[in-house]
Amino acid sequence: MTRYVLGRIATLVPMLLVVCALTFALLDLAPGDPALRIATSLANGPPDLSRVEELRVELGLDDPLPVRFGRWLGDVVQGDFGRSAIDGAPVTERVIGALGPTLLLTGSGLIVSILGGLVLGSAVGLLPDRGPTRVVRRAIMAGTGISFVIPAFLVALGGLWFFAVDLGWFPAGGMSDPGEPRTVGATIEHLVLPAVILGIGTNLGVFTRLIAAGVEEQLDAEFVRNARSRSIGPGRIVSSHVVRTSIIPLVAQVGSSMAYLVGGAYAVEVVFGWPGLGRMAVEAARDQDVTVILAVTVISGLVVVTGNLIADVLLGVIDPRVRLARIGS
Amino acid sequence: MIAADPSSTDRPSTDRRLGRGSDVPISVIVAVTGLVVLIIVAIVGPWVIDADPLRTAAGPPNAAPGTDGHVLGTDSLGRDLLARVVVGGRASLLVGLAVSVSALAVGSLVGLAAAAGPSWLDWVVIRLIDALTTVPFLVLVLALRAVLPPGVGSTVLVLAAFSWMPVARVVRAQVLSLRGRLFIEAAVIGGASRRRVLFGHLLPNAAPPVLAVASAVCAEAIIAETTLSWLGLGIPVETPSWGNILVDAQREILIGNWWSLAAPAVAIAITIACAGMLASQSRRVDLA
Repeated sequence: MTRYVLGRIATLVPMLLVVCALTFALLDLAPGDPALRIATSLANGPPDLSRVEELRVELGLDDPLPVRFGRWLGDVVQGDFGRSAIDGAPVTERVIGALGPTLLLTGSGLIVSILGGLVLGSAVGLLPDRGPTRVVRRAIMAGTGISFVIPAFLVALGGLWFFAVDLGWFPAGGMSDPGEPRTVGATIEHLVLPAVILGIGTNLGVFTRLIAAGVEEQLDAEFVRNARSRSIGPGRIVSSHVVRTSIIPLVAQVGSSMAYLVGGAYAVEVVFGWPGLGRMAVEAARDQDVTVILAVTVISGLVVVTGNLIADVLLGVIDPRVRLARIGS
Repeated sequence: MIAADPSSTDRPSTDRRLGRGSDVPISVIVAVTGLVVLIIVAIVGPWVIDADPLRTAAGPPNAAPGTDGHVLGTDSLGRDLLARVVVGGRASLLVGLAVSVSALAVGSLVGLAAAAGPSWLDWVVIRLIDALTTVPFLVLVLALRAVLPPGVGSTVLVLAAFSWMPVARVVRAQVLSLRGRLFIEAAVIGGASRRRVLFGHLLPNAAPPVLAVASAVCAEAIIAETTLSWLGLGIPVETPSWGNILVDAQREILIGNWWSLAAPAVAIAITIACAGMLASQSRRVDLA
């Protein structure tokens, strides 16, 4: 198992490095001169040109790209993302502060879509496709298919209007009411709507279909027929034979849809004013704050890769074939 | 070139499956019709509808659908929403098509190069695709957006830059799996040049799943355009698009004006549904 996990890490770390290098090189093309900008804000007016030159050398901005990348990477590994190109504030604190809310929202959204997918998918797979249950099946398939036709941020805007404004069941945004402290209760109250919407808007449809297809397939499988012939009760067969084996493709799908999920979370954050990385990235893109965008890109990649890794490890735990096949190859 | 004659080999008969009218699944007909209607409406609509999408105070601001002949209502500046959605379709559909065409071209070349080129190139391409798909699309697009000025052209460029990966992946996989097939060997033995084998035999036969991915890319691009423009980072407001009509919606829904959201949302949903149907159906045709 350790070997399997280490093998996965060994493939994921270079991937992150490539992402860092690409983004760094890309953002190097951004217009604007950080030295000039900092000198301007320091001098509170048009700065002295020699001072700008000095700053450029001081900050190492005159070094070639690979040198600057190496220095930046060294700092990042030590947990320093540098200073904002706009206001000179340290980026690390801001990014870490925004990471918590993002993880909270993303994790809750994922849980919503997994639980929803399990329940609805099992229902679709187990209910017979005739008589009155046919309507129920169709309704679930159509309802969960919403994420296939409507992007997450539109689902979020629609949900915001219907549940927060029209019905008034939930607060309309933020992580706590304005002026109020962030208590656990307030956070949960503000979290429910965006998390449910994120779950529905990203993965609920896929998960439901995966579980439904798995359950339908497993119902006819040899080992299920065998379990029936050993007169194991239908409830036990469904829970420990049918649904349990159908979870394997779902876990694999969670791993490969991490980037999609995090992207969806960012869009939902902007709609609900959730103080996470997505909102920070959008503001940074508007301000052309290169350091912040770079930091958000790296952290997003890290979140996705970690989620990937966790899903891979889980997959190895619940399905030994995966673990053994990868070591073998 | 007898050896390259498709009928004498195991060349997949996808062209026959897609070509005969009776075999085309109903959802493909619905999807294609839907997309064609949308495109026609976007092109012809603005001349038919007697309303200027940019004229402010064409009616009372925030009028509900149906008032004063504003079928879909008006936005906060009193601009007619029907006119804006119809004209907005031009920019959004254009971006979707342009991005998927560029993704198709770039992705096919990269995928072909990876599959048919030297093995180090394949290695590099695979790593690059893996790395680019690790970061959420939105974040990549935001990073590139910070570098480029806003506009329709740069929006297409930004989206196309990060949309070619799925196409390249499928082209590569298809070429690798087709390479050992009899009709390719026959073409090679028959003396066909490398270029002819690649572009005349391999690429056309890889087409059905590649086109499926391209329609999925088109749907993704339209979603991304609307997301970017809604964030104020895509198409500038002087050119109405489904995305920047939504700039208004974020504020308007908080005071209950749902129609500012509903009109562009329905247009987007119909388009994505059609493109998605096309993608999943052509994938199924290939698997059959």
